Amino acid sequence: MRASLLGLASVLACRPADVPPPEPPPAAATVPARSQDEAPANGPTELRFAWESPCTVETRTTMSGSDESAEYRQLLAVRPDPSRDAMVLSGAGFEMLRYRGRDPTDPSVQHGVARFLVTYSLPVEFVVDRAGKLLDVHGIDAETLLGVARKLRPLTPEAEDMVRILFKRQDVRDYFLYLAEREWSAWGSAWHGLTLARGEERVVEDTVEIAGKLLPRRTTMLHAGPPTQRATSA
Amino acid sequence: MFERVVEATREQVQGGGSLLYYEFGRPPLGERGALITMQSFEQVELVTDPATLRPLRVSYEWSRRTDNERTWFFKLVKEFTWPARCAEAGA
Repeated sequence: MRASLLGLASVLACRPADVPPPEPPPAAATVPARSQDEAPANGPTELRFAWESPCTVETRTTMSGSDESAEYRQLLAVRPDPSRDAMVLSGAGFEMLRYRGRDPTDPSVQHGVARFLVTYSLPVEFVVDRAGKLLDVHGIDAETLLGVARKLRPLTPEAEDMVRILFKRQDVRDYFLYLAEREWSAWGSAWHGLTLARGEERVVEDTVEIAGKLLPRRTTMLHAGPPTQRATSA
Repeated sequence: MFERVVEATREQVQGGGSLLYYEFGRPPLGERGALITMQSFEQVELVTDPATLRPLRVSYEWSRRTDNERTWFFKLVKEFTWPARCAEAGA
């Protein structure tokens, strides 16, 4: 959740102001699956979203990549949405464990750690329905994001005005939602309703609209079996 | 395992395209040509609890590949520790 904000902020900063947001991938979604061990040996596995609320789960995240690496622990609180049949997910705590392979208190990485914490500490909340579909993201408003931008680098009054106008644009908000959906789909809901037999692979070829252009996309889904089996065969 | 692949040419996304935007004009691509095949590649691996169906471990990797060479990647591995009984924080 907070992780998405890092992606949101950095991508937004690099995105031309006149580029419309891409459409969310139609097949994007994510999530929890039904036990591979529960399924009959040769029968299909039905995947469905099965989170409960209220609940608090501890998460430990290892992030790596071309640009940055970090490890952090975070509590994730899930509570019922008071206004509809949905759940609200919010970060309830954040502890930095490692940054670029070093202790986060190491003076050599303090600047990077500070930047990381700023971008990951936005009070963002995801609203998802009972099937795990992302309905809304709270906390993506112009003043909050402007506050983050100010912490990352000093802004002139003119730059502040530009950033404020940018963050208030509907297409920019839509783009944040798209990115949030993209991340949530990785661990939240994309598998709901899917039925696959162990070892079964399904390929879907369609298109995705990005910046007004239709691009070809291929999605492959594979039921890889129990994780131990997967680890052995990998 | 769940994969999503978006493949397009540089010409196709010349006017923008956030998925591929970072690649243009940046090393190691440089000026390797006006028509480069690039891919945005996502791979998700999900492990769930057999009893509750809740996720235990999710691995998500997003990479960009140019001429089949991975030129950028971002990977998150998230491990979940669910309580035996659900309740709100501090409850």
